[in-house]
Amino acid sequence: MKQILYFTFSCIILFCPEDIAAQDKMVKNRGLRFGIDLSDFVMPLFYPETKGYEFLADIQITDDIFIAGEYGVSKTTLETGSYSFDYDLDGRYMKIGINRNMLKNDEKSKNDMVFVGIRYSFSSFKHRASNISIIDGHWDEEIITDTGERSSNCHFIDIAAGVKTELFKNIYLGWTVRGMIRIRLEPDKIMTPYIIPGFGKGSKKASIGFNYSIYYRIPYKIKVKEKN
Amino acid sequence: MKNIIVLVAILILLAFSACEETNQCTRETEITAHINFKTAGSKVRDSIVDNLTVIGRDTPYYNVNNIKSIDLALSQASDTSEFRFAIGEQSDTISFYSKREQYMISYECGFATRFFLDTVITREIIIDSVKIIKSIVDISDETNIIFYF
Repeated sequence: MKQILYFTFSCIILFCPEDIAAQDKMVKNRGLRFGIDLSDFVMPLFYPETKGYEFLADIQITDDIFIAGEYGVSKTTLETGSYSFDYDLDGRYMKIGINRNMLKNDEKSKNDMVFVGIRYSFSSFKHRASNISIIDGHWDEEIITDTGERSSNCHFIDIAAGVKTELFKNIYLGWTVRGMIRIRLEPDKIMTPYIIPGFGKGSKKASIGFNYSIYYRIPYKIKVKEKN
Repeated sequence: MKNIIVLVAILILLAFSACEETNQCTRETEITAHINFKTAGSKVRDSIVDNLTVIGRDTPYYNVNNIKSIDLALSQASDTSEFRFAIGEQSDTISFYSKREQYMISYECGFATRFFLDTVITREIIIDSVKIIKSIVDISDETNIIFYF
């Protein structure tokens, strides 16, 4: 239910009219832009068991194509009470791909973008379930056991759409809606991961996500021709 | 603009496929060895056993008539599970030797123990012979062992 409300809210933002005007030719800033996901500071309020950080970067290589990437770390802790065992997961992920700016290359929105993009993504993590209690009613036994630390990894595709706009000089704000499709999760006969870092629930083959990020762009200006 | 609309439609479809399932445990979590009874000899067919009593660790497990299969829970704390089988006034002790491994059924249902049967030993008083069909005892309904009478 939380995810449905969260995604609905994101869609409302997506369809809010943007004051995207654009005109003219100019000097554009094509320097490396890097940022941090601000939603990672809010998400623990909704999902307190998971904490993480994501760093983002992109660089423009043509008038409308950007190479983009994300790197993140994630930690999940579940304690007995939520389930019949304790659980810890520690992992990181990396995404690399391209964004395409759908805005016209003009003066008024020269540093803004409405983009669509695609990423190849890889996540690796270690996880462990401990204090596992199994009660056998017939034999009147209870066993307490532990899986030990187990490693795994996951490959997935990330489809993105979003907005980045220049708030102040070289300072940008932006949001991204993501749809992720799992390609391969390394098989584990003992347990599935609770969360796949960068992807979402370990039991799902598809997932959605949302970023709200702030960026800084290293100034590197070039002259470009205007497109009408 | 058209590309953005198509992309948003894809994201909405992915959102529905990523929706949360129930947080309740809806699966059977008790794991038992499934044992079928057959007649020994050249023509093998289902055997219906009358007046069967099965006791494990001094606790009655079965006390039934006209039965052709039973399910037994093996010990999760020991590599050996012993049961006393009685048909009428005759009885036999049957020992199941296995390795054990805990695995997750789901986060909601928790963990269960999966068994890897090694041998089943009887004194062949009431049972003619034993055959292990599927050595892995897990959540599936497949037959693990056949007792030939």
